[in-house]
Amino acid sequence: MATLECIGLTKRYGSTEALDSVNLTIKPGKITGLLGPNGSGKTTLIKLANGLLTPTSGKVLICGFEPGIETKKIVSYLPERLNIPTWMTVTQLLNYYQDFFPDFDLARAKTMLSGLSIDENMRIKAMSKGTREKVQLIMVMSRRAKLYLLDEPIGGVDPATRDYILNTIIANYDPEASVVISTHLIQDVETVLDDVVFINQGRIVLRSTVDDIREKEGKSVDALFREVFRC
Amino acid sequence: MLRKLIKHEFKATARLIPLLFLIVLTMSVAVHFALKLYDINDLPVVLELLLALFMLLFGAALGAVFIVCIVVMVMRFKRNLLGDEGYLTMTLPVSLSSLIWAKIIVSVIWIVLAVIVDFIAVFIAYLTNSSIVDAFRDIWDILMRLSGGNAAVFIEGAVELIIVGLFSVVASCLNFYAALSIGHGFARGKMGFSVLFYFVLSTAASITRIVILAALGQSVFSVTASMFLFGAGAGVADAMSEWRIQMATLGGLSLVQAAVFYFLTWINLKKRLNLE
Repeated sequence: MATLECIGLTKRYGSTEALDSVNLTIKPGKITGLLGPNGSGKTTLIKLANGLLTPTSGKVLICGFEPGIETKKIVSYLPERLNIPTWMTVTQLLNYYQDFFPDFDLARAKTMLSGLSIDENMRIKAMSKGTREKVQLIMVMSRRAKLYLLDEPIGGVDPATRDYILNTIIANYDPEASVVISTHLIQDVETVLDDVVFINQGRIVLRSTVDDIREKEGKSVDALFREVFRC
Repeated sequence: MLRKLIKHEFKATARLIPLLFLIVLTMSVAVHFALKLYDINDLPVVLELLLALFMLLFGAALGAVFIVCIVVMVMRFKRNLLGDEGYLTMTLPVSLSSLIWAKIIVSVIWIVLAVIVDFIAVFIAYLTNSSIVDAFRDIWDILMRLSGGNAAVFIEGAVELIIVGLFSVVASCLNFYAALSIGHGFARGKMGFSVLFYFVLSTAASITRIVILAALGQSVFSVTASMFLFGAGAGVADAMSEWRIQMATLGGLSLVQAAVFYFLTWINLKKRLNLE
């Protein structure tokens, strides 16, 4: 069964079409890059999969179910924005995740936090932007989810933090789970991807494995992206 | 899950409100002793002015307790559901109803506690001030007379009034939530639309209440009128019957109002949520 399936998925905001009849299947055990320029529909698709938006038409299914309480139990979501309450301490945040997500692995989270020498008694608001983003990522990747939806996980951080984020994703996701990484920073993320989906103006323009692109097109995903989305 | 949501709601909102309660109670102790100074003759004018100012501040603090509770309640809803935290809250594996109810329950509890704290603060402040104590005694005598000297009648009336008051508080909280939820659905000027819809919804609710009460041959003044039936020598049974009808009507109207606002909140969060 597909982990994530979009069937004729369309989303309009007034007269603006953010997604236009998207058909997409993400299989378990793959890291898929959802790649496209700004405003292409990546975040809209991810929000629909999380139940944060309702489709105008079509449907999105997570392991065969429409977004709801049951899918939220198996989807771990890293949004583009910082979503963790900044008034909390790290300990309070750990308790919060443990309370609501049955698949949250507290030991894994504590190991990753201590690896970064993060004081669990520290308040989130007292941390730097980069550290906050790392804490948020640790929370997301400490869940043993079936689907990880990571929206622009490496945008707006320094190269060293980018490497940390990508290594954390690779090291901590369940091999039978699916990971969808949406980004427009292709070069950094290409090395971790199995599959890529190019999206532009709400439509899927290309679907391929990374290996196929390199073998058949003879170029990197980044180079192909620049070619496909040339202004 | 509702219990866990309520637990975390209290943790989130308990950073400021209990502190305010403590400040008000501390001020009430200070007012208690300050009032004793008033009994001293030939106080310097400056000291009298300072005492008067302090009394004013105490009065303001009593009101501020409610205002802060409401502000905390509104900001919490906005930040936790409609702001960046919404990306976490709205992806928790809990129902939307649970999220809304957790906020309502905690908001009502804080507002009820604010009322209790204010009562205690006034009691402490004026505990031994003879003129104030006499005033409280007079109010008690009136209430006893109004209930025909029957404690059971008084208790029943008080309980019904409290229940109707609680329904009214729930409806008021949901008025805010509905306005915020509707306003959030607009692409621009979310807060402006939220304020606008707050006034639109509360005005519509007030007008509806007046129209329905009038249709039932009652008015917002009927409650007071029924209370004076006691004093006018009407039988306790007749007066209590009238009182119960008033309370049932007002309570029912508040419940309907709350239900409508709840639906508006729920449907807008369900269908028109679009976190930035």
